[in-house]
Amino acid sequence: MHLESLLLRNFRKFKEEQFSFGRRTLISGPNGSGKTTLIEACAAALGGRSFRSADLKECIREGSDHFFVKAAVELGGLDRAELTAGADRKGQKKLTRDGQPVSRRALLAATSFVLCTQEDLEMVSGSPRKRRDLLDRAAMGMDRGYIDIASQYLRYVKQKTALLRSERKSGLKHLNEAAVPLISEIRRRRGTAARALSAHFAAAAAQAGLELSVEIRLSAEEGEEVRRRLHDRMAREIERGIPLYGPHLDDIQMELTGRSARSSSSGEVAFGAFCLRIAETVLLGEAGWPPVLFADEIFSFMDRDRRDRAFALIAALPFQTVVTSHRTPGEGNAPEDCTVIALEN
Amino acid sequence: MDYGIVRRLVETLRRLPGVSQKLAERIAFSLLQDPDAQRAVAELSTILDGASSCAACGWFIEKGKPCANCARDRRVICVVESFSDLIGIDRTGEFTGSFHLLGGLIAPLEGLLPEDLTGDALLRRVEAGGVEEVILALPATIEGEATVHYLHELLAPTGVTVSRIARGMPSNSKIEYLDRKTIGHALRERVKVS
Ligand SMILES: Nc1ncnc2c1ncn2[C@@H]1O[C@H](COP(=O)(O)OP(=O)(O)OP(=O)(O)O)[C@@H](O)[C@H]1O
Ligand SMILES: [Mg+2]
Ligand SMILES: [Zn+2]
Repeated sequence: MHLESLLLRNFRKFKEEQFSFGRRTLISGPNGSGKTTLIEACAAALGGRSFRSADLKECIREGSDHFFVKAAVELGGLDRAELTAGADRKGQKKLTRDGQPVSRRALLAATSFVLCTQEDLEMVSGSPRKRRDLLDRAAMGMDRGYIDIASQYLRYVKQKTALLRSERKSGLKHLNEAAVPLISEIRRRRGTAARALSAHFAAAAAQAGLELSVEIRLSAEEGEEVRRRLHDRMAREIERGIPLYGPHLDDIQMELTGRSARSSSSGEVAFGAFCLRIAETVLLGEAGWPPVLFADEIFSFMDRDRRDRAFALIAALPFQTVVTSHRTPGEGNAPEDCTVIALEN
Repeated sequence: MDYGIVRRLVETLRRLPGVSQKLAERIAFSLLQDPDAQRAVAELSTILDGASSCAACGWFIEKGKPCANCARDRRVICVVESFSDLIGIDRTGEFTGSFHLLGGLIAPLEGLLPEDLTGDALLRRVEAGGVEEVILALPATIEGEATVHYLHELLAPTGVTVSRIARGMPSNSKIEYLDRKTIGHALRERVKVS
């Protein structure tokens, strides 16, 4: 995929502005100049969601009642498309592709991008949710059919929650039985994604001249075991009124080079998170979905040496990259073939 | 402007499926002015007054008349979620057995649990004898799968063969949206539920 340009209207600090992107783009500017905002707007148009706010409507510029962003992209080969996202204060959200409304699912099935942001530190050191997201994105990258499996599973969780909250409880075991193959398949695919990510992680680190590894551990319960667990949990689930088992709750553990996140330094965690995103990028490319990599200020915790290694890794990627920095180019971090977007306050 | 009776008419028409605001307005004006359209509405309520559904199979019949679906070959029963799926399968011309309308799928979000479906009536039809196979023509969604498990469990004690139409079709897809060839193929390639 290739992002050609982005138009923002009433998106956070931007009233109306248009930006063009090259094969490599550096977004530079001081604190508060809108670097993260610009990446956030790209992600909204390409993925229908903000990575900073739970609700897209929080991106509406103060004093306006709706925002609109429009991206011109090349999806693959000659398949060009115009993707838009908009939201108003009432919470009405609209995504389109070439003027036609699209679901977020259809959008994610068509685009390919990787976001690397400050929030990624939580991927290593935070709650398992971020790690589940990482594996789900990687699994989706390896096979887009995973979107259907995951959405059927989500549907199961919703149906089951509705059932557990209702007076009547019949049908619970039938819903569970229907979910057994889904749960098994999600775990298998997450496991495959975890192994692929670990391999690409080690390769990226080696390329950066560092000997690092990541170990991702997750539940491998499948088939009969899943059936038994679901059955054992039924009484408690009815008592509590919520589902208590399944991939949406699975714990996923991560160790960096044999050490838990708690005993790693901030810089080590930051570099680890960065390498995971590089791994995700390479994985998507291998699967035939060359992504755009957006990297927003993940270098803050890294020392000079690691930062240079990280930049070198990005520069070596055979994909489109968009990187932010609060340094102005000329301080030695903008290669010649780089498109520079210089933002001001 | 106070639209009064016109508004009521339009709002009532809007309650019908597939009727947009524009279409509702068009129908409303013709109903108010055209005697032929008025007769059509009168006929509609006469027809509906005489309609009921068969307690055995769920198909729609004229009150007091025998059920055309129950009169078909009862050795093979094809279970469908709804009326529109029945039509989709009947149109292929490949199925000569009788149908069973389930009246939905297990879907707690829509307030539908096993006892809200016509599974018990299906069980009675099978227990009455002469049924060799029950084909479940249900969608490959979580709701469809849950319903397959429920019906399989319900029918297992009777010893009847329970099969389901072949997957291989896009998940989430409703049978009514599939073309004849695809439905015909799914029917022929059905597999035994175990
Ligand atoms: N809804 C909004 N309406 C108007 N301005 C907003 C809105 N939301 C955020 N801003 C402002 O936009 C500015 C840009 O924020 P942004 O996070 O994009 O900056 P940045 O360039 O990434 O800064 P840093 O270098 O600190 O990461 C901030 O000053 C913020 O106050
Ligand atoms: Mg920022
Ligand atoms: Zn009948």
